[in-house]
Amino acid sequence: MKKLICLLSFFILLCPSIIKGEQAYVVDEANILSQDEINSTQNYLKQIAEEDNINIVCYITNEYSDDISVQGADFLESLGYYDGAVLIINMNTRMYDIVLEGDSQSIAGFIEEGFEYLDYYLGNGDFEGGIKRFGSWVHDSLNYKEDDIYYNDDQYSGPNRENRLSTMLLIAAGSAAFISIVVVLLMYKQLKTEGKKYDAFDYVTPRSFNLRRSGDVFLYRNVIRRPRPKPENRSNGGGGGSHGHGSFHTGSSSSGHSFSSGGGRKF
Amino acid sequence: MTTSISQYKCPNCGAPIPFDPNAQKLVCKHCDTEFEVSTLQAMVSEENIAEDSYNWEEYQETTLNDANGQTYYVCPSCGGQVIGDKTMSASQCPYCGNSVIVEDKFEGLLKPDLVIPFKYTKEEAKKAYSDYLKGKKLLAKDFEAKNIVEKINGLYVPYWLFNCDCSCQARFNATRVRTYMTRDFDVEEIEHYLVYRDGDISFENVPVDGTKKLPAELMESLEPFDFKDAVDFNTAYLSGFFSDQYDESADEAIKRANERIKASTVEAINSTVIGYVNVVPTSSNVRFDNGKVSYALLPIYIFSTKYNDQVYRFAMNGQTGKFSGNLPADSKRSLGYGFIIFVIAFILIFVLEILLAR
Repeated sequence: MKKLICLLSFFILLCPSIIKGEQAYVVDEANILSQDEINSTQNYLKQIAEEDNINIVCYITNEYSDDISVQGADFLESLGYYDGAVLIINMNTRMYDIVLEGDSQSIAGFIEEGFEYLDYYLGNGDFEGGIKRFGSWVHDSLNYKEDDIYYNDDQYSGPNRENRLSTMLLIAAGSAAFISIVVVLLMYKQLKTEGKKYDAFDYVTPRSFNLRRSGDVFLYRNVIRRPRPKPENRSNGGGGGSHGHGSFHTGSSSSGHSFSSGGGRKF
Repeated sequence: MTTSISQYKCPNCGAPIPFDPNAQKLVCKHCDTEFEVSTLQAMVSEENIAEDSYNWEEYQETTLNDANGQTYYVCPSCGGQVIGDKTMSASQCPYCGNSVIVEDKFEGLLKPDLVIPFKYTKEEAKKAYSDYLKGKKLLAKDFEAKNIVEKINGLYVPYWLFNCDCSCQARFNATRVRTYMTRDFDVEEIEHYLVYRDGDISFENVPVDGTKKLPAELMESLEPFDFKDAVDFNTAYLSGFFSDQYDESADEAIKRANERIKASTVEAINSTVIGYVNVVPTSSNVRFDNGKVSYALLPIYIFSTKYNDQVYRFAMNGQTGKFSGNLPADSKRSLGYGFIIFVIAFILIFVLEILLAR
C-alpha cells in the first residue's frame, strides 16, 4: 500500500502540468503561469482543438535553443503530434514562434497576422492573453473563407465593398453606352448610302497587274536584351514562401518532418 | 567630264557614314552600325524615283445635227436641261422635281461613243425605292407616307470614261521582329529593310460623271457599271428616256480619274509587301500612259422629293439595280433605340460581372 501511494505521488510530481487522463494543451516548464491561468488557457485551447479538430499546444520553456522553430517542431512531435500548431515561448532567449506541421500548414499564410496579435500580448507580459489570442487566431485562420461576410467585415471594410460595386456599375454603364452608340451609328449608317469612291478597282483590266521588279534590301539589325528576373533568395535554410496574406518560413524538425513557422520573434 | 559624288547617310541615325579601311565596310561613328558598300549603293539608287506624270489624249467631240424627234426640256428652277422625245409629256425636272418647260431650240446632241441601255423598268425602280425604305429603324415615321413616288425619270447621264496604262514605283521602310529567350535574357531582334516595288496595271472605262447638276457622291455610290453591256451609240436607245449633255468637260473630270486610278495603283503595289511587322511608305510615283478618254451615256433612274423643306434625291443604277440616296433620320427614334439598347446591354453586362466575380 505504501509503495503504491509513493508510485502515484511520483507520477503526479513529475508531471505537474499534465492533468491525469487529459491531453496537454499548455506545457509551462518555465513556471510563469499560475494554476488558474494554466486551467483557463488549457480549457480555451481544448475547446478550439475539439471544435476545429486540430492538435494545438502552447509550450513555455527555459531551455536555450538557437533555432526556436525547430525547438517548437520537436516539442510538438514529442507529444506524438505530426500535424498541429504550437506556440513556443522561450523565456531564456525571450523569443517566441508559431510552428505548424502537417495539414495545419495550410494556414501558414496567416502567421504574420498572428504575430501582430501576439507581439502586443507577450510584449506586455500578458501570457494568458497571448495564449488565448493564439488559440483564436488558429480558429479564425482555419475558418477563413474569401467571401465570408464575417471575415470580410474585418479584413475588407465597408468602403472597399462599396468601391467594388461602384466599379462594376461604372464598367457596365460605360460598356453599355459604348455598345448603344455603336449600334445606333450602324443603324444611322443604313440611312446614308451616298459616298465617293476612293479607288477604281472595279475597272482594272483583268490580269493586267504585273510586278516588274521587286526587292527587299536588308539594312541593319537592332538587338535588345532584357535580363530575365531571377527567383527570390530563400531564408532560414529550409526555404520560405508566401500564401495569400503573408510570408512564412519553412524548415525541418530534428526528425526530418517539415514545418512552417514565423521564423521566431523577440518579445 | 563631271562626276557626281554621293554622300552616304546612315539609315539608322542619319549621320554621314565614312568607309572604314579596317572593316572594309561603311561604319557609322555615331551608332556603330556597319553596312556593306553594296547595301548602301542599292539604297541610294532605289531612293531616287521620278515625279508623277499623267499623259492623256485630248478628246475630239462630234455632234449629231439631226434632232431626230428630240427636244429640250428646261427647268426654270434649277436650270437643268434634258433632252427627250417630243412625244414625252415631261412635266417634272429629274434633278429638282419642279415643273419644266419645253424649249423649241435644239442645237444638236453631242454624239456619245458608248451607251449602256436601261435594263430595269420604271416599275422596278419604284419597287426598289419602297424596298429601300424597309427595315430602316431610324427613318422618320411619316417619310414614306408623305413621299409616295408617282413619277420616276429614266435619265441617260453623261459620263467621261478613262482608259490608261499605269506604272508605279514605290519604296518602303519595313521591319521584321524576332523574339526569343536565352537562360538570362529576353532578346528582341528588329531587322530593318528597304523594300522596293515597280509594277504595271491597266484600267478601262473608269467613269467620272460629266454633269454638275448631280452630286458626285450620289453618282459614284451607284457604281460599278458593267461595260460588257455597252453598245455603240444610237438615238433609238434614248426613246422613252431623258438624256443630258455634259457640263463638266473632260479636262475637269480628269483630276477625279487621276485620283482614283492613282489610289488603286498604289494600293495594288502596297499589297505585295508582305511578311513584315511594320511597313512605312517613303516615296512613290505613278506614270499614266496611253491615256484615252471617251464619252458615254449611262442609265440612271432618278427622282427628288421634299420632306420638311429639304430636298432628298434618290437614284438607281438602270443597269444593275443598285439604289442609293440619303434618308432623313428621326432624332426621337434614335434616342429611343439608343436608350433601349443601353438598358438591355447594361443589365446583361452587370449580370455577367456578378457571375464572373463569384
